[in-house]
Amino acid sequence: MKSYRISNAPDVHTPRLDEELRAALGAAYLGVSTDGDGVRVHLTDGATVSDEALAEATVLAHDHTQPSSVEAVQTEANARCAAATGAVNAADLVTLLADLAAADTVDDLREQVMALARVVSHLAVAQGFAPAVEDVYGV
Amino acid sequence: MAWTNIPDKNTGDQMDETWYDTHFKANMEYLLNPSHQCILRVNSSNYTTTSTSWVDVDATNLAITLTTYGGPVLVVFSGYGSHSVSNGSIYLDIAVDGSRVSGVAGIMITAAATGELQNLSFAVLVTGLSAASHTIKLQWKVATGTATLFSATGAYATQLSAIEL
Repeated sequence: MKSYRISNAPDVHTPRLDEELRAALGAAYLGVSTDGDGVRVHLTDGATVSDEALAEATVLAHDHTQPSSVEAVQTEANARCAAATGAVNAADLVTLLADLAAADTVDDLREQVMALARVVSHLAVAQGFAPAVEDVYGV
Repeated sequence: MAWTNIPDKNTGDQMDETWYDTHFKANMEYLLNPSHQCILRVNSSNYTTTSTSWVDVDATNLAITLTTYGGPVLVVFSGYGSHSVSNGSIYLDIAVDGSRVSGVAGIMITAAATGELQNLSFAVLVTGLSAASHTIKLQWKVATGTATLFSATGAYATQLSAIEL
């Protein structure tokens, strides 16, 4: 294994930089480390001078403010969870159940069941189990 | 201070002042204060790695060079860290003169929920070292994701210590 130090590296966000280096270098890439004095890119013994140049260019072009793809997915999931939790907390279940019990037409019953289904689906989203019913049925 | 091997004495040999100073006094003083080094590292930023092969955490600032005299060496590391992936493993080991002391998985493996603070501390007794100068470095790797060892200003200091026993 070769470790190639880039001492003039900018601030880095390691998970994002790892994705960028992996995409750029492919099989020649083993990982990246930071130690406060720069960045070390770990390459296979077979890595070439051009691999090192590509590693350096990738590090120097890195934007530490960008999240990794995993973090971006997690951030979106957290936002959906927070929104769903808010929707559940805002739901007036007492009124909803009373309206459901009082429904005397098919249309009324359908409306109340869908309202209840939305609460259930928000609960599922908040627990990380399922997409919101709005995403599936557009309601 | 250094340890000096004590030669055999035969009946009639004298234990003069030179012998006393060299083989008794100096050695007793060495036993009281043997070769040791303690690094308390507050880095400019946290250490991170995504390497799936063993690499030095910090070959400059988390490295100890000791002159030993054939005794075992106790190495102690203390630190806190985290991992970017749920149940992502952080592997830790030490390398003495470039050779890791443990097997493929190192001295210890930790795993926890994403970003959860993990205790990365361990102690290991290294035996079989020759009487010579030896360099001890902390090494680590991951199976996936990013491992972080907290060492930034205002966070947790890491400590690497070694002492000949």
